[in-house]
Order: sequence, then C-alpha cells, then structure tokens
Amino acid sequence: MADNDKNRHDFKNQLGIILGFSEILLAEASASDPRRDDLEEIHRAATAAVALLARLYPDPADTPR
Amino acid sequence: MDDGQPVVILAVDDEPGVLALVRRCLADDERVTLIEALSGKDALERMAKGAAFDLLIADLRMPDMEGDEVARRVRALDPDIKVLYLTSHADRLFEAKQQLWEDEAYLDKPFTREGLREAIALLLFGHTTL
Repeated sequence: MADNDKNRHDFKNQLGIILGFSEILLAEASASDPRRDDLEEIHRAATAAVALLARLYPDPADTPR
Repeated sequence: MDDGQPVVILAVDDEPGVLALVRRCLADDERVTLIEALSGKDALERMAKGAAFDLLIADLRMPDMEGDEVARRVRALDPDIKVLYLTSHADRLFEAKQQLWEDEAYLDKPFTREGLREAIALLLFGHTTL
C-alpha cells in the first residue's frame, strides 16, 4: 500500500508539472498562436491522465466511511 | 507586511520539476525572491545560515522529512514564518495533522499558477491578489 501511495504521489507530481506548465503557456499564448491547439491537446491529455490515475490507483482516503 | 514589500519565499520539494513550476508561477513578480531546496535538510540548513523568509512552501510528502516536520523545525527557528503545504491529497494532511495553525494553508496538487499565487497572497496579505 505504501508503494501504491508513493507511486500515485510521484505520478501525480509529474502530471501536475505537465498541467502547470501547459496551463501557463496557454494563458500566455495569443488566440491566433498556431501552437495553441497543440498546447490544448497536451493540457487535455494530462487532465485525462489525472482522472485515469485516480481510477487505476484509487486513494483509500476517497472511500466513503 | 503590506502588499508593496518584497517577499522572500523558501520552497522545498524533492521533485525538481515542481520547484521549476513554482519558480515559473512567480517569475513575473519582481517583489518575490524564491529560494529553492530539494529536501527538508537543505531547507533547514538555509535557515540555519541566517536567511530570513516570509513564507515556507513545503511538499507534504518527502522522503527524508515530511513537510509538516520541516515546518515544525522551521518554526522553531522563525515562529513568524507562514507555511503553505503542497499536498496530493488534503485528507492525508489532516490524518497526520489534526489542524492547521493560523499562519498555515494548503494547496492541492496539481495546482495552477493562479491557485498558487492566490494562496500565497491570502497567507501573506489576507486577500487573493499577489
């Protein structure tokens, strides 16, 4: 269980870095920036990966008591 | 401290990418000086050298020393420092720590630039604009 917790934490950290930087780049990109679509795909995929991680490694703290 | 004063922040996280993101989030603000540490030990050594900080940003979960332990030791050196915990799951924070002190807050990972800046401003200035 401790390994699962660490893996979840470490994986979420990496996804958070991708999300955080892509969010900043999106905020700074003009509406006409040709890279905006690519950045949105990166951001969308990282967001989906966070949700996927929660399904693959459900956190016991999320279980109703 | 009022809004116009310089702010010195000590950020500790064992993941360099998270520190890089914190740095990027605060890069546009010339008032902010950010000092980075990759472990609790590193953070405490910086404090012991006499550096003064307004705010400690600490990952809750680190291999050498948990963030709340880093905060406890930092507070022993500087009782006035404010603390922002970065946590992947807030419930875990409260399992280990039954309450937050007045000068503490937490921010869930993944965090946004705005979320980080608002949390810092709330702790330092009492409102959400840094």
